[in-house]
Amino acid sequence: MNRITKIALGFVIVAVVFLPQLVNNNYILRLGILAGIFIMLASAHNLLMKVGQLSLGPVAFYGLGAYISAILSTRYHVPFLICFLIAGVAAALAGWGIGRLTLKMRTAYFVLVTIGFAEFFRLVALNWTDMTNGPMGITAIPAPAPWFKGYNLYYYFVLILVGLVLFVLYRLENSATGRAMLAIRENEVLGQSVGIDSYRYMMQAAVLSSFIIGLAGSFYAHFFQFIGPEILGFELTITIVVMVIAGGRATLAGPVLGAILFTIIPEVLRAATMWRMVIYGLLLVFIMLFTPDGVMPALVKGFQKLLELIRRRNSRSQKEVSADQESILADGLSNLVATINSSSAAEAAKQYGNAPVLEVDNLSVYFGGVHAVEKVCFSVNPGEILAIIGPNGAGKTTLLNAITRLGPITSGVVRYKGEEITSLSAHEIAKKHIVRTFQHTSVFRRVSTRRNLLLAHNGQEPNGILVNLLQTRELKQLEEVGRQLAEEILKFTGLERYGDYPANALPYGDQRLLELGIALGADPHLLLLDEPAAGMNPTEVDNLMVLIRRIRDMGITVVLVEHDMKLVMGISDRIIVLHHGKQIAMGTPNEIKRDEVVVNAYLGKVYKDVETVGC
Amino acid sequence: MAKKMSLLSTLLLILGLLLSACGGGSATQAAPTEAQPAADTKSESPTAAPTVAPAEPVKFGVVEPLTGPVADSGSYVINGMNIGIDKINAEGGVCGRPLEAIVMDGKNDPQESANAAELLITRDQVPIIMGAWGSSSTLAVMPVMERHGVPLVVETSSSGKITLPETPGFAWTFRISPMSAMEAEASEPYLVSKLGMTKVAVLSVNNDWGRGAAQVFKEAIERQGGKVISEDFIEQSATDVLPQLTKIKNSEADSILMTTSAGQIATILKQYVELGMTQTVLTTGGSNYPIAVMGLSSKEIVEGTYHLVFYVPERFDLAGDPELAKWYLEEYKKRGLPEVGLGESYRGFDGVNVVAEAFKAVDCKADPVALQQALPKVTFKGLSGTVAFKERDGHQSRPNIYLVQMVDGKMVVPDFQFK
Amino acid sequence: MVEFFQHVVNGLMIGGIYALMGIGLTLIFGIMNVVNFSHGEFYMLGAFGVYTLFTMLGLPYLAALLLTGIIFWFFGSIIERLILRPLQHQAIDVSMLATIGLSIFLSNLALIIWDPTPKDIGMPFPLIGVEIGPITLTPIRVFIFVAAMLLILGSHLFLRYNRFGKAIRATFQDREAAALMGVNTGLVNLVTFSWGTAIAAIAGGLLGPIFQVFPTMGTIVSSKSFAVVIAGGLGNFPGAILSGLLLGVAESLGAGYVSSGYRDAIAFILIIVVLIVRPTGLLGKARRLG
Repeated sequence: MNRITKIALGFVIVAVVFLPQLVNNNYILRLGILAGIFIMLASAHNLLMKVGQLSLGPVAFYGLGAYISAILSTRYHVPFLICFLIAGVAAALAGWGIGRLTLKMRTAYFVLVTIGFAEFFRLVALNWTDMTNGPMGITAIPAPAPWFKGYNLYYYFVLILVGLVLFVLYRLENSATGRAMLAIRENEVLGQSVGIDSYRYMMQAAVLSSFIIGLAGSFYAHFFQFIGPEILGFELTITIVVMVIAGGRATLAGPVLGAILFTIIPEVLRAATMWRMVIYGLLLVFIMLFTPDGVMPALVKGFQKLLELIRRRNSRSQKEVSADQESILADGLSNLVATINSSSAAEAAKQYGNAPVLEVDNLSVYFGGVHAVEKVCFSVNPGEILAIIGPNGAGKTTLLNAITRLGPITSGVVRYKGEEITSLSAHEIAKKHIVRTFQHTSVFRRVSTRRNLLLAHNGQEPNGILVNLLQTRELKQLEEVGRQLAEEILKFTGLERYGDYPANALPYGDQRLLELGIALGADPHLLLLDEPAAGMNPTEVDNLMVLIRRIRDMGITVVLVEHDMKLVMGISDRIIVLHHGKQIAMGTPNEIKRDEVVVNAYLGKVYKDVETVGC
Repeated sequence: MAKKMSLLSTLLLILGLLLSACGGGSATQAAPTEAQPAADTKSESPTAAPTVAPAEPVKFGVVEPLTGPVADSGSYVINGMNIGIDKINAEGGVCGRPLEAIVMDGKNDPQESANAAELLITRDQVPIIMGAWGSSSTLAVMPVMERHGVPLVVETSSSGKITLPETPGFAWTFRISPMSAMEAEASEPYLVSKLGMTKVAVLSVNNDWGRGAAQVFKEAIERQGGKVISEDFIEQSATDVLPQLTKIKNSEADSILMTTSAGQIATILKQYVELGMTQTVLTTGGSNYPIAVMGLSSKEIVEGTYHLVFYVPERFDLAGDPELAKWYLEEYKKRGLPEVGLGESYRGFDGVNVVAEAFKAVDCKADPVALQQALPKVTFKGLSGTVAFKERDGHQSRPNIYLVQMVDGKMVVPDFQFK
Repeated sequence: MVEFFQHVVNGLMIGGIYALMGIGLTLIFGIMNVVNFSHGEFYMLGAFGVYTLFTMLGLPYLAALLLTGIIFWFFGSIIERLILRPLQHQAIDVSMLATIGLSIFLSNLALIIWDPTPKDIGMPFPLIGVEIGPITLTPIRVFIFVAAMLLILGSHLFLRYNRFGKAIRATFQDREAAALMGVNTGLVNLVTFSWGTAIAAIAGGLLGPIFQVFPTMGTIVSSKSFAVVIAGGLGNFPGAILSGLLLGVAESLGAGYVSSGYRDAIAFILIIVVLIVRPTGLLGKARRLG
């Protein structure tokens, strides 16, 4: 933190803490309290944005918290603090329940189903008159305590609350959970393939977010002393979402700024009377058009540019690499001497022995009538490089997907080190140190290269919310392992020079290299590579070959799906040939080269009744 | 680096916002007329033509819906209020000073309305506020009034809760508009006996107003030996009521009791005619000005329907001050204001006059406590009878409530309601 | 039993409009990947358009309707060019928020242009119920239903047989492949959005006479159309028609037999249940259009 930031931070803290004394104006204080509530709402809502889910139903939890607190305190005279906590817990439970039902959905489906829930809650509040007093609302909700007079106390209460919420969110963001959420948002499938349980993190986000929102709802009820079904209206949802997105989603400061801005803007616009909402709507359109990532990131960029202007620096920090730059692979890895010492593969290999690590038994995958993979059997021995080849559409990637559980399995069994893994989910497979790469370049695009590698290790770190909040020693140790591993991989792959560049700024070949790095970052014992050489020139392929061999030498067993025959023949110990989903040959590179069936398959001569081998 | 930058710029921005917010108070106060609603574009601005020597204006606050679903009704109230302000100022103002309203849009949303009231009290330092239209909004504004000790004159809301002593802010609230219970009381003698409402189907808007009215009328009808056979509550924005009407048509109901806005009543009546229904129709609530309903449908559609109203423009003899009622109607027409709004505009007129009378009683001192003490004693002979806060410990007035029937496109006041 | 049939007929009549709104929304989503929150505002503006042309300027009702459709075709094009095209490569929530902003802007602008007083379009047909057996029908309702069905049929035929309609279908199936085959996908977006806007505006003009016209009338229709689109399967054309009609009938029966207050909940319960039980909609996600 530099000096300017420190001074500014000091000023803001002093200003915020002494606001009541500084302004002595109830209207400003009231806006301050409302802004505080909105900061809680927007920041909590942002948690879901962090895992890439846009919910349009935060008011359901807000309303639930407010109503529960109001009903408990007016009907049963429960003291405020108890109401407050019950409201939070009830909202969290609702968040858990709704999350169970909806978090399997993505994009527009999730958006619309959350609207459905919020509206449903509103209609219940409106029509369950016996409990909620329906449209008449609940009046005379008591203040938190009889001595809660004036706005100062409310202000400090909400200030402390906001401080706590932001502290928790800050801790979380800078923990394994925060990194996992970033990974999910950037590339959910890749995240799963390195062991990140996206559903679990989404549930955590949903529960924590609804808990905070429920607390905010309870506070609102006791501050406002009147609530009606209006607080469950769609307009409030829009306000919250606007605060998050316009402020800058998925950053910590964005929603805070957005909440403050959009508490103040409508108030300033009051002077415009009839035109107020017209201007508000137009403003929203313009914000989306010109700063689609939010005001906050735009401000940051502008500020950086300004600083650079002042310091007369040229735009060196624009982390971009010219597209025609030679990739590291093409440059040659002559200087490739580094090894990865933090990997646990060698140790595991030593302990395991000589039995096959992976056994695929009668595996079939059908898509409707299409038999993409038909009764495939093979096994992989420890420390070998096994290649799977076959013409396009032979079912190679489907097979890989089935093994790593990113795709469906129709029948058959897959065993890893003797243990059946067919019923596991993708992230659990990765936790067993079975890691894969993808045919199409798949990296965490907007994240720096170094951070990409840190995210990759995340699947191996604890995912409990408390562990991450408390940042236990165990977590710190594992984080340290991840950091070290990342540095070693950077050296190993030669990507060190791009450490701080965002992944999408890297040349194509180096992005593929980074992919390999990400897979290594997940500490694999069995590595499944899906066409790693696709799109590479001969020099790059040569170097890739060296790299894969070195990976194997570190004790990692490699399964390679590839088209490039030079690569396949050059490094494989054994080769399996798939054709129309069937396994038609298996053998050493020399055997396969001479196999008539294989040659014919590649030449397009289709044998109807090809004899399958393996089972 | 980027993180630090983002932190730094947020901090700077928050600082800036804080500073601008602090400075904002005094800057905007200099130009309160900005807050004049667009609804009065056709009328003169109250400050534009002061007939008295330029004296410090006497300011009061107004919170009404100017946008949102009930913006129309809010704008009618503002129209009536502006007529009142112009009349008062043309006659020399209050205590020789011009009366000036600072109007805020509450959207009929509780939170917005409470914010607006807060702004009026703390920024503009108004000693009294008129508003906030809907009962939910009024109930949300009341705690704010109590917190600051500023009186509120309620001109539209109908919920009985507003003038209950246990409601926060009761001590500061003075209501001109009648409670639904008063309507039921007034109409109870003839509901069953004269209108023949023995088997009643209730079709009301699903809010405090519609639900509250349904409740008290049900009691009144049952006391008279009638029966409520069905109750349907529809959303304020609902347009298709055929299912409910079909159900009522096929039930044994002989009459329909409706409590909702003029626009929704017009929609319901259109569909009532579509289905060829014959049940007696009675509307309640005071926002149902029958001429407005006719304007939104047609003469044929409203023919024969009954309405409970608090103001009958053409019947000057029923007003608190017949001369004033005559003048008001002429003035309203002269200004070319929408005829559909006439039946609701009177509330703004009566309301602003009560505010003016209260100011006169305290020599126009901007002293909220004095105003609070003066209000129970204020009387004003207005358009809807005489305003006097005689009920509910001096917090509730009892205005006129009349039954009218639409006959040949005109409002007729049946004689049987007068003893 | 009579009452039941009356409810079903009422529901079908209103369901026709839900379906009409739904196909526009669903196609815009399917082709452009835009969740259009201003669809209800186009409906509202269409009603105001017919009010201005028919009631104020005295044009014949059908001409006013047609002209409104044409005007809003161009209006839709402008919106697509100015707002949606620059955002087409952004995440789905960016364009969604932009349309939310647009809807706030439009409904409040309408409030200023036409003032908040509800407007009555007036009846283009006599308002006399015709008894068909035990069921009462009015000419205007029949007209609305028939017009809605004709518009849906017309859209279907256009997509099925017209050359450009085929281009739209190709884009729906695979945008990149269509672009490679020479389909001008930018133009497809433009036409889809303009068409959706025009259809919504006409729907507003159709329902205007039996309801009131006011600036916030779009909100509720908007949420209903979303329910229709989800229940039918996002991007599913026949699904939207089916679920539109179903929703209309379900609401009528629900309001008639269960509870008025929860009537609007039916749409949302439908959304929730369909998405949880059958996430791809009643008919599944169609990879085929028209």
